[in-house]
Amino acid sequence: MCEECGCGIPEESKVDASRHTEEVNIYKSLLSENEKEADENREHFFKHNVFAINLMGSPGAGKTALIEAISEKIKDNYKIAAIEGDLATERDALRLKKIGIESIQIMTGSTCHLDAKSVHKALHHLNLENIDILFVENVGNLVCPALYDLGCHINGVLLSVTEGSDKVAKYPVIFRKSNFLTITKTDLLPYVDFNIDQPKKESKLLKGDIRFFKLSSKNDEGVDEFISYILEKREEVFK
Amino acid sequence: MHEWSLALEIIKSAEKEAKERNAKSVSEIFLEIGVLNNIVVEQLKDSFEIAKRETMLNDSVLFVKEIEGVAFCNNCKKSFKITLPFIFCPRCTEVDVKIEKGDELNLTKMTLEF
Ligand SMILES: Nc1nc2c(ncn2[C@@H]2O[C@H](COP(=O)(O)OP(=O)(O)OP(=O)(O)O)[C@@H](O)[C@H]2O)c(=O)[nH]1
Ligand SMILES: [Mg+2]
Ligand SMILES: [Zn+2]
Ligand SMILES: [Zn+2]
Ligand SMILES: [Zn+2]
Repeated sequence: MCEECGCGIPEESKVDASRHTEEVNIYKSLLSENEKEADENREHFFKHNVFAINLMGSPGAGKTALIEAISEKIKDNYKIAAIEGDLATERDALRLKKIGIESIQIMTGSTCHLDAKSVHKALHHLNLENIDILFVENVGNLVCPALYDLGCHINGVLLSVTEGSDKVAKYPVIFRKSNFLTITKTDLLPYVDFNIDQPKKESKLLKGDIRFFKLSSKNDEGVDEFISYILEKREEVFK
Repeated sequence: MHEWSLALEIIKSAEKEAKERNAKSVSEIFLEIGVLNNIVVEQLKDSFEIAKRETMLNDSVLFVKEIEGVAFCNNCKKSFKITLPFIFCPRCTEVDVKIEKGDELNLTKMTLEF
């Protein structure tokens, strides 16, 4: 306490009897709200037999192009729809509408990822009864989407050969949360130094059971294998 | 980048818990963060300082306990400490492992003002 001015002496006026402090134990996930919403999405998917795929990857990795390529091939046999996440514009949803795919654009503004709630809202604008396979194209980003469970049946990353083969270990979290890693734009392999074994090996070291694919939406190489994987997974879920 | 997203989640969760208990404000908040989330704690604290402004956490202090990564090898049937970034058994190099620790992103404790 300071003898001179008495600054250490509690002033009567400062003491408010109604004020008190309490320590409370909580122990809850910081993402528990998102997890609740993801469960709701799971319920919607289950109830309407919708197989949902969360497609993640950098901006320009070829997410929309792959949805287009897959849709062109199987849209006569399966009803396909898409939820498109981008910071701005409806461009991706319009691209898909152009080829007859029902799609909803989520514009996230400043948010760099989709969360379960934004997907849930979008679900209410889709006729789920009329959908077999739903693509949820996340915002182009290798970081934050990894934190948010959307309730999809499978989650995966597209990595294009122009991004470099060293990306897996640099962004470990997203690969650790993925069921598949798909290398895209393999038609460009002759023009870039991309060691395809590196992401294959490194993704296994992050998630032992990750599935690995390589394809080109442009020349169609590998697209059928990837489609088979999706259809197999769908069978597993809804058998 | 995901430090900022996480800082916003911290504010959201903490305000919800504080409101449910009719608190006026939060003075301390304690988290548990597993290393596998690749969160840079210093960066998270910086983001938090900005995100907390004009919320119930305006005057709060953030404490972070980091949890190391531990996984169980399904081959050796033994646990091992994970050395980032990769996750494999150091004894047998097996990747068929189960994460036991290191995934945490928890709000563990708060000091509330009434
Ligand atoms: N050569 C080649 N180009 C491709 C391939 N797939 C996509 N592209 C091109 O790559 C660019 C980006 O493709 P998008 O499908 O828009 O990528 P995206 O991941 O949806 O991008 P965002 O939604 O903006 O994150 C476009 O110019 C595509 O034409 C491919 O297999 N081969
Ligand atoms: Mg796109
Ligand atoms: Zn709903
Ligand atoms: Zn981000
Ligand atoms: Zn082992």
